Amino acid sequence: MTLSENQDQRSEASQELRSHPAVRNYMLLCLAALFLLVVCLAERGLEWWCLVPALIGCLALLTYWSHGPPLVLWSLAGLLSMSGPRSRGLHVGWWRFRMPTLMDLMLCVAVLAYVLGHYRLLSLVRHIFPLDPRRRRVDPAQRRSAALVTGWEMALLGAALPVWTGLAVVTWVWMMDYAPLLDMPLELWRVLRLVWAILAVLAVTGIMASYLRQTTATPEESLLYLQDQCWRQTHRAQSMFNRWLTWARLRAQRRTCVSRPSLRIREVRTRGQS
Amino acid sequence: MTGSYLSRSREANQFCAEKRFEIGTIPFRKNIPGAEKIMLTSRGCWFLFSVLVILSLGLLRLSLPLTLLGLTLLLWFAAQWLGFLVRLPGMRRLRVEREVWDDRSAVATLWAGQTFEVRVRLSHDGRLPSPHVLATDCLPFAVEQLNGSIHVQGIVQAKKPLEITYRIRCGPAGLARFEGVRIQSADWQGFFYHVHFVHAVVILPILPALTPRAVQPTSLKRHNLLLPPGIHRFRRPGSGSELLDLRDYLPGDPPKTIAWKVSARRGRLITKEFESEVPVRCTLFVDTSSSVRVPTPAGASSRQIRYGKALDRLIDIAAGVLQTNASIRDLTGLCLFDEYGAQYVAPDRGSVHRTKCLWLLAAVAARSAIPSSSFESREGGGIDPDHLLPLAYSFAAEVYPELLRSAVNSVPWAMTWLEGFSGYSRRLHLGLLELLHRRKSTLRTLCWWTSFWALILPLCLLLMRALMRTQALDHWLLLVVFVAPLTALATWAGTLFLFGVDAVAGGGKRRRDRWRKQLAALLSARYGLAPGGLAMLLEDDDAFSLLVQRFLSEHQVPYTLPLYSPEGRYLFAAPQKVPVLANALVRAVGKGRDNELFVLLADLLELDDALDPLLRAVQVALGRHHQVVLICPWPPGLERPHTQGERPVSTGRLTPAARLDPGHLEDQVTIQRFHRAYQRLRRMFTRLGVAVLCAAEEEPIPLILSRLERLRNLGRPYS
Repeated sequence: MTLSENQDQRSEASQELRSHPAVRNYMLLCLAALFLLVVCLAERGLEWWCLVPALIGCLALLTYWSHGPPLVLWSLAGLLSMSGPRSRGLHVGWWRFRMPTLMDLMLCVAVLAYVLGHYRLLSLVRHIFPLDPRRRRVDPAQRRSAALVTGWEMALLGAALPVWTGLAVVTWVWMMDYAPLLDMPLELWRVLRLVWAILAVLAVTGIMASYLRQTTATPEESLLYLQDQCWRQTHRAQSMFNRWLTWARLRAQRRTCVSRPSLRIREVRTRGQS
Repeated sequence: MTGSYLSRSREANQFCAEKRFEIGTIPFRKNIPGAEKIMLTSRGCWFLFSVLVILSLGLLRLSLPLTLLGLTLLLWFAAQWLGFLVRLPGMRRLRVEREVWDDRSAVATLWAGQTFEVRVRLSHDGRLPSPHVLATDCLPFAVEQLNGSIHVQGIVQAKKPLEITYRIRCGPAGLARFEGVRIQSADWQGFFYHVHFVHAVVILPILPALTPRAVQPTSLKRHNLLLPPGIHRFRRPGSGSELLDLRDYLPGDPPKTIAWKVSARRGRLITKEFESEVPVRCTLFVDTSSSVRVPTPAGASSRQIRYGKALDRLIDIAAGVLQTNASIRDLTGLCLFDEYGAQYVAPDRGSVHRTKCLWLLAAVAARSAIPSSSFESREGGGIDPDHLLPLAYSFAAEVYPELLRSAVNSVPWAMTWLEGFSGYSRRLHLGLLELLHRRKSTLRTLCWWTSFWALILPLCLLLMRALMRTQALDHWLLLVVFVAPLTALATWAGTLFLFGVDAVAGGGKRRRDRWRKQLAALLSARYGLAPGGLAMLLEDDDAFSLLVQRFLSEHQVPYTLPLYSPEGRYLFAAPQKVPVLANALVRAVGKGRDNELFVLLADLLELDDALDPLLRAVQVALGRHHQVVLICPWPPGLERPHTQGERPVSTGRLTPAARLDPGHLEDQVTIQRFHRAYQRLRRMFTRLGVAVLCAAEEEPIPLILSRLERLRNLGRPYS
C-alpha cells in the first residue's frame, strides 16, 4: 500500500468519525452551551466582549484543540473578574451577594456543559488515553470508540449539569454560614475554610486509597516494598560492600587468567587461524 | 549476502521486539511510560489548574459567578476522581480466559507456520462496572497477528464480559507465551488514567511443521517378498529369507540350511547363507548451544529486516527427517547437546516417540542465546547491560507495571541528581561525562573535606601559636587564613559547575539510572536475591546483564547481542560442546546395531583446535560400518558457501564509495572468514569419508533421506 493510499484511508476514516452521531451530538451540545454562555455574559452588560469565550470555544471545537476549555475558562475568568464589584470600585461584603441569581446558575450550567462536551469529544476524535512518547502517531485504539456512546450516557450528562450546579450552591451557602474565628478578615476565613476542606478531602481519600492498595498488594509487591525500604536505609553501605566484592571477583578472574596462559595461547591461536 | 551483515549485528537495538516498543536507535532518549499509578493526564492537569485559577480569582476578587463556577467545576472534577478511584479495585480482580482454536476445536499445541484463532474473554464479578477500559492482549513474540484486533474497548460489567478475537500465524518452532492482558482505564473525559496488567500466563509449544516433502525417497520393489514396514534387507549373513551366498558346510551349521542339490552337484556339503533383515536406524545429533541460538539479521533492506536463528533450520531438518522416517516406520533417535551436556532419546518409532521428539525440539528452540563466556567466568566478555536495558525495561513496563510503581520501587531524586551509580565492573571504559555522572558523590566528599580542613587548619595553627608562644608561625598562619577559604570556595564552585554540566548533559544517564534501579529491584525480587540483591545488581554489571538476559529469555522476548567483545573475541564460541558431542556419538555407537546413520547437525565452524575428540569418535563410528553425515548450520542472511566449480554469487555492482564503506568491508571480511572456516571443516571431515553440508540450502533433508535409502536398498553401507 502506497503512502497516498494510506493517507486517503486515514482521511476517509476521519470523515466518517466526524459524521458519527455521537460526535455530532457532543458538538451540538458544546455549541448550545457556548450560545447560552454568550447570553449569560451579555446579560451582565459585557457588550461585544461577551463573544470572546464563545469564539475561542468555537475555534477549539472546529480544530479539536485540547487546550480550548482552559482558554475559555481563562477568558471567562478575565471577563468576570474585570466586571466584578471590586473592579468597579465597590467595596461590598460577601453578604451583599449571598444568593446567586438564575443567570449565575445558567452560566455554571453552560460552562460545565461545554467543558464536559468538549473533553468527551476530544476523547472520541483525538485520544482518551495519554499518548506514548515513543509512538510517532496516534494509535486509533487510543481513541474512545464512538459506537460506545449510548443514549444513557447523554441522559446522565443532562442530569449531571443541574446536580453539580446545585451542589456548588449548597457548598457556597455552607461557606457563608460560619462566622470567622480569631478576628481574621471574612474573605480570608472563607478562603481558608475552602482550602482546608479540599485538603481534608484529598488527605482522607489518599490515605484510604493507599491503605486499600496495600491491603490488596500481591506477595511480589510486598517483597519489593520491603526490599526497597531496606535499600533506601542502607544503600550507601550496601553499595560500598558490593563494589568491593565486585572488585575482588574481577581481580580473582584476572589472576586466574594470568596463571593459566594456555587458555590465552589457545584463544589467540583460534583467532589467528580464523 | 544482502545488506551489511556485521553492521546489523552491531545494531542491537534494531530488533522486532524493540520495534514493538519503538525504543529507537538511541537508547535512553525517550521516556517509557506505563508504571501502574493513577495518573492525572496533562488534560486533567490543565483543567484542574484552570479551575483553581478561577476559584482563587473568584474568592480574591469577590466575584460570586466566578466562585460559583469554580466550585461547580471543582466538585464535578472531584466526583469524577472519586468515581474513578472507587471503581479501580475491580480492575485488579479481572479474570482472563483464553482459548486457542484451530479450524475445529480448542488446541493445546501449535504448529509452526499454521494459523489459529485466539479468543480471550475478560470478565469480573464486582458490583460496580469498570471505567472505560482498553484491553490489549499481549501478543507473543513467536507469533504474527493475521487479522482481527488485539484491542477491545468498553466497560466490563458482571454479566457483560469483553471479548477479543484475532487470528495468528505461528513462527518457527519454540514456545508461544501469552502473558496476559494489559488494561488501560480512563474516565470519559480523559482526565485520569490507570494501567494494570492482568497476568494470565499460557505457554503453548509450537511444534515444528510436518509438511510433506516433495522429495520423498522412491522405493523400487526388488523382491517378491514384502517385508514388514520398517524392516530392510541388509547384505550381511543373518536370519533373513533371501539368499545371500553359498559356502562350504562348517560343523555346527543347521542341517536345514544345507543346499542339497548344490551339494550333490559338487560332491561336498554346501550351506546357504541368508541375508540379514534389520531395521534402519537414524540418530540425529542436534546442536543447541548458544552459537546456533544467537539471532542474526536477514532481509533485503533495513526496512524488511528479519531475524532468524540457525537453530530454526536445524529443527526444520530434524523434524523433516523424523516425519519421513515415521511414514515408512524407520527408527529415529534424537540427541540434543550443548556445551553443558546431552539429552538422548533412543531410536524408536511410533507417534508417541515422534511427539516426544517434537516437544523436545520445541522446548530447545525456545531457549535464547547466552554468551558462553558469561556462564564460565563472567569476565570482561560479558554483555554491556546498556544494550538490553531499554528493551527489558520496556517489556517490564508493559507486563509488570505494578512492580515499577514508585510506591514499591522508588528512585530517590537525590540518587540520580546527586549521587549516581558507580558500576564498578565497567569503570575502565567510562568517558569523561560518564565518569563525572557516576562519581558525583566523590566530588561532594571532596567539597566537605576541603571545607573541613579550611576550618581546622587555621584553628590548629592558632592553637600552636598560642601554645608555643612564638611568632614564627605568623606567615604560615597568614597564608593559611587566606588560601584555605579560597581553596574551599574554588572546590565548591568547581563542584557546582560540574554538577551543572551533569544536570544539563546527563538527562539520558539519569533516565538510564532510574530504569536500572527499578529493573534491578524487580529482578532481585523475582530471582530470590532480595534484600541484598538490589545493591549487588546495581554494582555488578555482569550479574545484572546475565539476569536481564534470563528475564528476557523466560518471557520469550527475542533480543540481539553483540557477537564480539570489545577485545574482538567471539562471544558465542562454545568449544566445550565438542567433547560432549564426541561422547554422545561414542555412546550411540556403543548402543548401535548393524547399520546406523548418524547425522550431526552441529555448528563446528572456527573450532578447528577442539575437533580432535569428535574426529576420533567419527572414526570409531565409521570403523563400525556406520555412516556419518555432518550438517553445518549457516547464519540466515549470510551468503552460502559455494562448492568447487561453482562461481560465487555476485552481490551486484557496487559503487567505489560503497566498496570503501567500512561496514561493507567488515561484511566482506566476515563472509570470507565464515567461508574459509567452512572449507576447513569440510576438508577435515571429507578426508574421513563424511559428507559435509551446509544447512542454508534445501539440500540436507534430501541428502539424509538418500543416505537412508542407500542403507535400505544397497545393503552393505561400506560397500
